[in-house]
Amino acid sequence: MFSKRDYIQYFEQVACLERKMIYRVTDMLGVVEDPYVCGVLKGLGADAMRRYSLLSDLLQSKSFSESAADKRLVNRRSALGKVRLIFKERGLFKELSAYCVNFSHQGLCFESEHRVEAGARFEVRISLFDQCEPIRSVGKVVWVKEALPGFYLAGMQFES
Amino acid sequence: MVSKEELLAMLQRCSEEESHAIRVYAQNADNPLFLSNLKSEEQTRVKELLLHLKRESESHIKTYRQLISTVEASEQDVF
Repeated sequence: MFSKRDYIQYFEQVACLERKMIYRVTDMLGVVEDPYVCGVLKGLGADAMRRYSLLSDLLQSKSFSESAADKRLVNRRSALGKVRLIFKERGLFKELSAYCVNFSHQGLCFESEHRVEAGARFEVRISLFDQCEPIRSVGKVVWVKEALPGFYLAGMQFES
Repeated sequence: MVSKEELLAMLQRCSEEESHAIRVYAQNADNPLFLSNLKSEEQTRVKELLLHLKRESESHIKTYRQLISTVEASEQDVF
């Protein structure tokens, strides 16, 4: 028998797959200049955004929402974009690339092919796909889980 | 700008991820217990959505394959 939690986990996995498609196409559009290839990729990217929107609506519907989690997510803005995670190691600044899933004034949910550790502190620069001005903050990773094989979802709490 | 080789690798990766997504969309399609806890109209909505996603991914794979063929056949070294 499938529980509500099973449905949610399954559709969260499907939503993560769609986000991954959006990231791949957006990354390609960032480097490709050929007009024909860009045109085809823009169409595929728009499809992926629409599909993700359908899945987000489903996950927020009454049958799929979890009341406790929803309360926590009330003020979160679902917004996809790129995230730079900057940290200092042996006196040198280093950075990891990640993608924004949603954020609020209190924190950020991001995903990446890099596994970060809970408790790790980063300076973050968020560049949303639909906003020019980057958002800067500092935060600490509070949870991490493997959303898809080799692809990690993490929650960060802002300090400033 | 990106090299032809790099672009082909990225397009191939996207095509493979669409194929993986199709398997995920279809993994519960034949299981009568899947969605059985939901109301009838909700079950229909979800099944239609998964079928729609699967069909679109099949179409996307074709688009990626066509694009890969076009890039491979092109005389350009960078795109």
